[in-house]
Amino acid sequence: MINAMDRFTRCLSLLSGVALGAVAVFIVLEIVLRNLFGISLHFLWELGVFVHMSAVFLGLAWTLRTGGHIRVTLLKSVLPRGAEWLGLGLGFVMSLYVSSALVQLCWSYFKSGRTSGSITDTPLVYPSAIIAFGACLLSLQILMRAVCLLRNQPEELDPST
Amino acid sequence: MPASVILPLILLVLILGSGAWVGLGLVGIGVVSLEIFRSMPVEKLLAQAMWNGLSSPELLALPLFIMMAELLYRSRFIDGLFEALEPWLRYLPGGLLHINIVGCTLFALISGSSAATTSSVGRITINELRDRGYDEQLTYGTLAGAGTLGFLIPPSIVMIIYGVLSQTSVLKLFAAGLVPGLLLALCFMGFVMIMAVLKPEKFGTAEATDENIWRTRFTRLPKLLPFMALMTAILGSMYSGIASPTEAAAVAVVATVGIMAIEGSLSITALSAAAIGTSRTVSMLGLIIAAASFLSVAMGFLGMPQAIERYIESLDLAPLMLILLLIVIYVVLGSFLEGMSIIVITIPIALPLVLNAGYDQVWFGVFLILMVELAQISPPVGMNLFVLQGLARKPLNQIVRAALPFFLIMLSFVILLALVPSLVTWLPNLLLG
Repeated sequence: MINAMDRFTRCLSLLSGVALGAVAVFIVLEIVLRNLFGISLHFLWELGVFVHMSAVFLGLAWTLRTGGHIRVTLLKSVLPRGAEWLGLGLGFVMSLYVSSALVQLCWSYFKSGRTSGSITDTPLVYPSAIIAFGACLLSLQILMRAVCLLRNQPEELDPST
Repeated sequence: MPASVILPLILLVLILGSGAWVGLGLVGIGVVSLEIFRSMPVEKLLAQAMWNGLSSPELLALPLFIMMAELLYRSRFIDGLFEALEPWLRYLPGGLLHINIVGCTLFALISGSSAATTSSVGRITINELRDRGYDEQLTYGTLAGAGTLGFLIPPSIVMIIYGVLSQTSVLKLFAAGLVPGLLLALCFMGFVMIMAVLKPEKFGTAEATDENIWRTRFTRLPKLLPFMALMTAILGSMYSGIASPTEAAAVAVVATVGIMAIEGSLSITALSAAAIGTSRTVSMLGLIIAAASFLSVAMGFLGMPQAIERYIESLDLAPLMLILLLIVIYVVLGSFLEGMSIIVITIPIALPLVLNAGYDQVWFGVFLILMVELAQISPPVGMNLFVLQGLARKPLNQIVRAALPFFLIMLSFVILLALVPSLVTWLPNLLLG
């Protein structure tokens, strides 16, 4: 279960990075088209913002698994085990709260059919569903971390894994 | 002060001090405070504030500059920079230690990250300088101090975040950071030169070679070409008006891939590692930014900025005294909070105070970046200290001692900027009006 989760979240992290790279290529293409041919790809900015938001949330779980989220480690250096459980508990509650809030936001966009209001008129339910999914995965990853702690397995992986 | 102001501050210390992840901890502080003191749909507010916090198009520059740094880290770019600079700096008082400072300054011109600057330059120079008999403490110190220039010298990731959160022109901020960044680098170099005169035994010995130094200098200059190309692509495209700061970041990513292809370091492995590395940093920063956006809104509902503003105004401090008070607060905050968290937490409170005292929004941006730089080398939570500890594999207290003189130089430099604000505002006013 943990291995499958690791593979899945790593894939999502890779996908996020690749999508951001693709946005960079498209933006450069837009600069060339705009300056040489006077053609502007307006939709790119909106797409770029949605890709960035999605990348932030889809990468959250793998970042946690590889120790990428920063935290104050003062207490942990004195009470390693106790501080880990305390931080994990608080983190899990907050992560659940964030997930619930973002799922509700997605649901409200779905019900109202709200769109971005730009030329593309993108339905906001799509990007909001992705970020809600990413937030839920983070909560699941925190649970997995608790399982690792209970089994005395390392709770974090080397980022180069 | 009202309880609605004091409780969030207590929660800040308790929740972040407990070891909760900063992004989630900031959410917790806002949620608990609002649930206690205000009757409102907090979940709706949280979701909308997080959404709004990340939906600024200017913020797109952030992941792109991070991606560029990740790509550069996997290229041979820094090796070339070292080889080209070495013959030029070898005979200065202080010798090759200046490579740390000049290398970091040049790398900062194309990278927006302090940690990326420190680790990229340190990866090459630490062993090289040790082998040549340079004092380890000075090696770590110069790297710690100059590595922080990644935040001050444009393009800067932290400046983008400040610009977005405070609604300040990122282009103006970039221009404002250049002069202080270069002056600070010169201060570091001056310190190294003084140390070289006072304690020459710490600086190894210049290699006696029969080579023609001028020939070496010029034959190695082409190794600077990738750097020149990248700098031209980033700064040239921005200041010529062809591209916005965000678009310049995209140009930087594509140009870096091009450089990697030419020098032969481009591979699927390098690209996928850079993609995952980018995603990790973007997620970490993004969660903090989104959470800070919510906390900022929550603090507004609690009336916290106004209450603190009224309290400090009641002290009737002269502008310079206010800045000195802020320096003390930031140094204390910097010793237990990470730089990015300091920016997002303090902007709503400190910015109005500083503006009321007659300082400029752009000036405060540079001041704040310098305070974040100090936080980078303040124990126990200093990102640059951790990066150096990982590179040097030495105890943290040794790295902290090494960084102390550079910490003091930076502190003095901040006071100089408070006394002479035009050092910051001159260039942006000249370039952008």
